[in-house]
Amino acid sequence: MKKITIKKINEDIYYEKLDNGLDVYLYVNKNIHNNYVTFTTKYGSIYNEFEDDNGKMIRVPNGIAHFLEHKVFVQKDDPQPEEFYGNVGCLTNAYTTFKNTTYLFNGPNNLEDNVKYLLDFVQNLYLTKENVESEKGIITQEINMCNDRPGDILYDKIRENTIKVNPFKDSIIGTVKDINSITKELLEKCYYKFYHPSNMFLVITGNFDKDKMLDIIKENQNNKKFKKEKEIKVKDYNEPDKVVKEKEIIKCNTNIPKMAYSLKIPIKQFKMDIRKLSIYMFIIFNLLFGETSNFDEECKNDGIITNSLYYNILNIDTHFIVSLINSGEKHDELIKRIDKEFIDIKFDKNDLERKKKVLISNEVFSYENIEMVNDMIVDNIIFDNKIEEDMIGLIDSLNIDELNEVVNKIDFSNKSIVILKK
Amino acid sequence: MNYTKYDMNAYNLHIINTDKFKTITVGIAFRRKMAKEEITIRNLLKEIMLNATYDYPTEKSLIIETEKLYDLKLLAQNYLVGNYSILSFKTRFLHEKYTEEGMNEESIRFLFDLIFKPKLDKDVLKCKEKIKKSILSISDNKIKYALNKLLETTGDMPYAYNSYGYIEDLDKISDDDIVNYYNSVIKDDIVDVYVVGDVDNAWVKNLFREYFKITTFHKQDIDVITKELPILRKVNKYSEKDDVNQTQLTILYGTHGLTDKERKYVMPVFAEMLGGSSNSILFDAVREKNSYAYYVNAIAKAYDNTLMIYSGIEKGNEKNVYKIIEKSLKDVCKGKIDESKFNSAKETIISAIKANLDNPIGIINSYYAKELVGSLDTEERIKNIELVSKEDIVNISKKIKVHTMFILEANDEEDNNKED
Repeated sequence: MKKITIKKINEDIYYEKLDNGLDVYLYVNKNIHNNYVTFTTKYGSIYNEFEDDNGKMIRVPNGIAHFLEHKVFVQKDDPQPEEFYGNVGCLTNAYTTFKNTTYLFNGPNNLEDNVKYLLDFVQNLYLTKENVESEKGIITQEINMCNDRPGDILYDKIRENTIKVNPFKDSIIGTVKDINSITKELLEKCYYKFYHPSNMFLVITGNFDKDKMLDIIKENQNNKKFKKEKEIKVKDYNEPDKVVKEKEIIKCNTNIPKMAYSLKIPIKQFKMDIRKLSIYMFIIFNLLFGETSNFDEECKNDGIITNSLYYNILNIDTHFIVSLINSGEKHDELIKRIDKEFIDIKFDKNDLERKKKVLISNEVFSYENIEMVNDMIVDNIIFDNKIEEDMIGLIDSLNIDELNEVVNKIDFSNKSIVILKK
Repeated sequence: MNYTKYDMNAYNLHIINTDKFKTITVGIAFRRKMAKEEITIRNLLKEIMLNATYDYPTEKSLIIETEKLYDLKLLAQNYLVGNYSILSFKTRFLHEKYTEEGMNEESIRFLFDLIFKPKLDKDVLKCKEKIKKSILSISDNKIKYALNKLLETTGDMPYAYNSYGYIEDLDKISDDDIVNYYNSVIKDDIVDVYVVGDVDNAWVKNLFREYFKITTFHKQDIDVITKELPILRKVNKYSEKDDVNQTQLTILYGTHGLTDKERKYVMPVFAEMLGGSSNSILFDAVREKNSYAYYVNAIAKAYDNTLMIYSGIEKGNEKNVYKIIEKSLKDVCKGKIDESKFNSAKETIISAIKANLDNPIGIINSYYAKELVGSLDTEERIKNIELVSKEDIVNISKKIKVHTMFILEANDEEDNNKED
């Protein structure tokens, strides 16, 4: 087992790659009762064009990754996962994002058997024509639930209006039409492609004996047969730099209008380590629009906003989609003020140093909670396939010249605005 | 973990000494009898107290100070437990062994400033706007909206009121009202303070004795349990049409004549088994067997004497889903209880009690429940959950009577699932 020591926090994460390609990450905290375990495939909603076993590029409907998430939970023989975990007082769940599908459980008891069972149920697909059909009604209700949430509608529109070809533009869950076109065969094809151990990783955070745990995982995996590891080839997209639509007003059943002001920022131009660049992006929009900005104070004093702007940064590999989101009647005035704020930006060194202090504190905070540690490991792996050992050093290295350099390269005119209102 | 309770005359100081965490957490809870006419001003006061103090006279300067204190986290909440209305302030910050010496005291004194030196005349309008917006936003969440509407039909029960407040009350609140209400909270509310972390008890005690000055004694306490709903011969039915894709079916049940043991131990197990997770009776019956819904849940509020069941479904399926729910309840009444689901519910509750001890907020909540409803220690509670029998479940299920149904109705079929 390789020990990864997180610098300046002195916390250890253990790592091993198994013979079948599965990556295992272990983090032990002897002070606690609970355990949190995630089993993730690097397969999310965006991977819907890929090479099949014959080397032919194929296109499958949207929503398959999420559909599979529902179906992986169904086992041929009882107990079903919910029941298995329920019986030992643990909770199980799963979620699908753009880039990964994660199965998880948490709870204080029975950890070793629970881990084995997690590996077993995720690595065993049981589909019938009937159980695929019956799931469609449930997922349709899930789609309807999302379509009744103005926030979800806004996020879908932001991506649709900024992204032209990359599948990040589509919703993770798919449309009712997509769902109805999904078949047992399509689900199987995607499952066997993307649920190979070499495309997956297991993260265990909690109170346990790490050596014994690794032995148990190895034994479990050695007893299973998988096809030979094969490289997964997914389609690359040539995403244009320009946004798709500059402005759209959408009629929506909500009492308070919602506005999103999004920028599409090409990543290549910066020639900088992506992790570092991502932190700079966060700091830029935090300094410009966060709760400690002059912008925020003035807009509140003038009654333009009541709550601080929420900013969201989505990394679609080639671009950042940065969205400033707010709800309120005075969205037109707010848009004007945001436009103005982007002219002649100059940051202050003291402000940057204070934000660095915040970021460093939060790195320490995250080790307070095994769920956060687990999330952080999953994020790290999905983001660039390794654990960042010196996040604090990286934050320390940020400086005002580089910050100003990054912000000067952003084209603030490449924007897209979405307004939702009655 | 070491728990000590100090009687500071006008308030209780609870110290939970543990080296489990990298942080120190301080929680201050004010409680009084819930009154409808105070909901709005209590929420407004919370906003104003988080907005500015005499030393940090603007929202911006106050937040900059939290960043300087190594991103000290602040959390304020207003919530109800039975007849109590609780206003809670919590702060969590890195222990000074991870930052610099003196930060523990500075951070705790920052919280004291929020409580004792608020700038009550600052940004009142802005804070009112914030409350107004949260009231208007309720309808963006259809589940929450439907549940609010359901509870509203009960008239004058404490839980019938929207917990954010009312826009018409908001306009009437004057600056003087805010000052008076603040004074009354400090003077009349029952106060409990919690400190969790690696601290020296004597040091904490002195700090509070010196700076946390509340001097009223002999405060009036009240009974936490809300009165029962009347038993009806026929269920009340309400519905409302809305421009939505999904119909929300919500049902309110009253509980009648529960014993203390039932309230504390049997009811949580019953509700968990019925609709607490994806292994519940209702999840199986409504979702897995019939594909009627994506979610169906049951929530028990033992101190409100209520149980709620709700589900998001296709329009037109209300009757079928209601029938399944009723049948599921009847089966439990008749003693048809799946052994595995029953044990699973107990284990889940026990796990949650244990997992609570892994985070400081959970620890505070567990100890606060001791004050509010006389909860026992963790081990005792776990033992009592283990002792819950199937017979207990059958008995409690007979004490649950349907009271009201509220349906938020979706558009007609042809408008559904429209694709652009």
